[in-house]
Amino acid sequence: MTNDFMLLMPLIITGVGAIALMLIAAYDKVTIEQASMASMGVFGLAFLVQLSNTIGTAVVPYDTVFNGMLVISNFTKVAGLIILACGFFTSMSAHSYFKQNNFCTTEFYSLVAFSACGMLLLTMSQELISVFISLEIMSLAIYILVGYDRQNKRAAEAVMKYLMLGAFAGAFLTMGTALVYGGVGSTKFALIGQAVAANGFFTNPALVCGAFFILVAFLFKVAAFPFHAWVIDVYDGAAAPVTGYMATGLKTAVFAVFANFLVVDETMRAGWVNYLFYLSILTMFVGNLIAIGQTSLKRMLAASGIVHTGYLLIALVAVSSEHFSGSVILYYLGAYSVGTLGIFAALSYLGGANEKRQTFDDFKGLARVRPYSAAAIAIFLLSMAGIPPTAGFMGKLYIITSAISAGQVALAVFGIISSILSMWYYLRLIINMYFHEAVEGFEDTADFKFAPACTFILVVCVFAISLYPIAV
Amino acid sequence: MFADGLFILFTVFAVVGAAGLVLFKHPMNGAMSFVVTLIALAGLYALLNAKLIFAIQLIVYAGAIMSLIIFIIMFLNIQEEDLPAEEGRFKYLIGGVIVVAPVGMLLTKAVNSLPGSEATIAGAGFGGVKEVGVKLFTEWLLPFEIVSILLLVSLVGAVVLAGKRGTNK
Amino acid sequence: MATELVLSAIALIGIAVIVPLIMSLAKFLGPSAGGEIKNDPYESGIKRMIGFADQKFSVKFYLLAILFLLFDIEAVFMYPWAVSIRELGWFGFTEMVVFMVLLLTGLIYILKKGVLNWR
Repeated sequence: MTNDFMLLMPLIITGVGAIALMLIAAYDKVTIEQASMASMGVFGLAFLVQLSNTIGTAVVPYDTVFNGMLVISNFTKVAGLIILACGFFTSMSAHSYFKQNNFCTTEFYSLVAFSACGMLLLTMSQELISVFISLEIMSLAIYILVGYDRQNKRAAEAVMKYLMLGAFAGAFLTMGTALVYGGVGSTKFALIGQAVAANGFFTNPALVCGAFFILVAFLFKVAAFPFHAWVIDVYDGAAAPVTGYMATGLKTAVFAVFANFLVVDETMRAGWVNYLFYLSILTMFVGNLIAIGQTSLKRMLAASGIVHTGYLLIALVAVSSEHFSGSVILYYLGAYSVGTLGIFAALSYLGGANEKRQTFDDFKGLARVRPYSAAAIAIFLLSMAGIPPTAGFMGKLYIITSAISAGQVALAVFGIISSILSMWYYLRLIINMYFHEAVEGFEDTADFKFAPACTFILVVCVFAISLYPIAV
Repeated sequence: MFADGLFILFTVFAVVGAAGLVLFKHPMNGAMSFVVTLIALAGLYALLNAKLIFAIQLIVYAGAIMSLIIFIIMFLNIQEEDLPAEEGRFKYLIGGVIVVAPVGMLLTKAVNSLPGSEATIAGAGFGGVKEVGVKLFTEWLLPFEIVSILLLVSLVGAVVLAGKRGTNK
Repeated sequence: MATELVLSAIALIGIAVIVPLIMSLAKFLGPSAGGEIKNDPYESGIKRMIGFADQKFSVKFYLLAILFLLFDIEAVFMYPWAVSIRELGWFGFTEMVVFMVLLLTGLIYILKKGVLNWR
């Protein structure tokens, strides 16, 4: 057991690191390369501290001071590890990305750290108002990162869409919070759970309506089916490292708080499971349909992100609130993050100046010119498609077995079908890379160190995670 | 009884102002109509005995945030000819009402089920500046402290997106 | 129900109704003699004002306005703190110091960044 201060230490390190990077930016003495290394240092240190913390049962750090609003458990610890790793690898691939794309300032890394701060808070918050503020910290920083390139019209369009719809989701969250408070008299998860256990869930229309609005906000943030339309343009408009960060860190944080909120009480979870069941199926198939039609690589990855949200919703349907560990969700998030971050790290250095290589055709014959990069991308794609022996395969296996053991056999079958469908667009890129003559030499992408190193580490992670056993 | 009448009056003002915000063609008229909503909300807070929120609503919302909104409208320098034609906007309005109607009915049901005014959550001194202060700085410490992070993010964001950039090294 | 709050609510109605009412009544009841010279803005002998009232502003104004807003919100949090400082004691003092130090770093940032320099 670690003491309360050390448990909060990763959060403090990222927060202080973000402020330090902000101040460094004002003094104009540090190059952006140094800033990116400082950012890697911050994330690496926070990761190690988070890793060294041991947690038995859920801990409420500084119960009296924070009034029980933060809860740290093994679930939040692992979610935090994934988020910090995402921040680390994002800084790493941004280091190379900004050698070819010329719009970086030191504040970029400060904002990455700030949003990680919000994400960590989001995983730990067990109180709706804190959830709202941490969600806003995270989203606000991400909006700015999406629109960082002021000269780029597509980035401006992306940030506009994202900001408008994100504000909409935030409004749903506050409305839901108000209604839950009206129905229960508290915004703390623990007290909401007690109230539901005492008086039932469906007997309280204000609580049902409030929970519905809160779920709408979360579903929007993870781009689940009826709220998925924004994701394609936003992912496409953002810079490659930012897209990778959004697709992984943000999703991890929101799924963590989603699971935390869903398991406050068994009747509440059971009330939503039927709807989540249909949503997860629709999310998977709509995502697949969109992905199949794409010619741009980033748009395809955005659409495949929707599909992965569908799988994670299956895992949410299958969690039980009696002995909640969330290990399946986190395992899948970890596996998905590694694959996605890897591809975006590769795109960061292979994309060229101003991200000129975007479509499937641009990567034709990559294996002839850059065999190692092509092999890495192929491994990430196979992991996301769920081919053994990668992490993605194990993640899907755990999700499907947990769905079957929760009695959701239909969901497991749909998951497998969707997985087969997704092969179509993942294999298309692999075929493009391996079975075509090289159209160009990719000469401009030769002299980078950090992003290729990042892809290499992530390839190792793909296999290492697949060997790590978890209890379902 | 008199207070009930005032409450209804303010509610009507708030809704009319919000409708005007959506329906006015020129953004400046919309913004002015929004001021009505904000002031009406301040009136509602006053009737609910929330003194601090009443003051903040007037100072921060109707004052600072409204002037920011008007600033932004001024930057864009929108002339009559810049505005889109908005053909068939009432068709969209009716369509939107039909789409939103179920949510509205759900909300009505939820709000009706809330404990009425006979339930006393408001103790003596509810909503006073001092009482809010004591509650905010003891029970609600965490949200208060992380608001500072949120403000820092928006500060950096404003400088990054609207300010002049440092040199790229 | 506090009487002073009901009164201030009425005052709000007064602002929202009476002021526009009087202004529009003045238009009808008051004497009006139009004319180009009379409607011309006059400013200390400078004959013509430049442009219209809705002309474009520099984005620098926006930056100042939003920075003002941020520190305005900081100040708003200090009202309830200042009023309840005796009840909160040193604990409340510490948390306000933490809050202000965090925002002070933001102030240092914008000062050093030269955001407030009008160039």
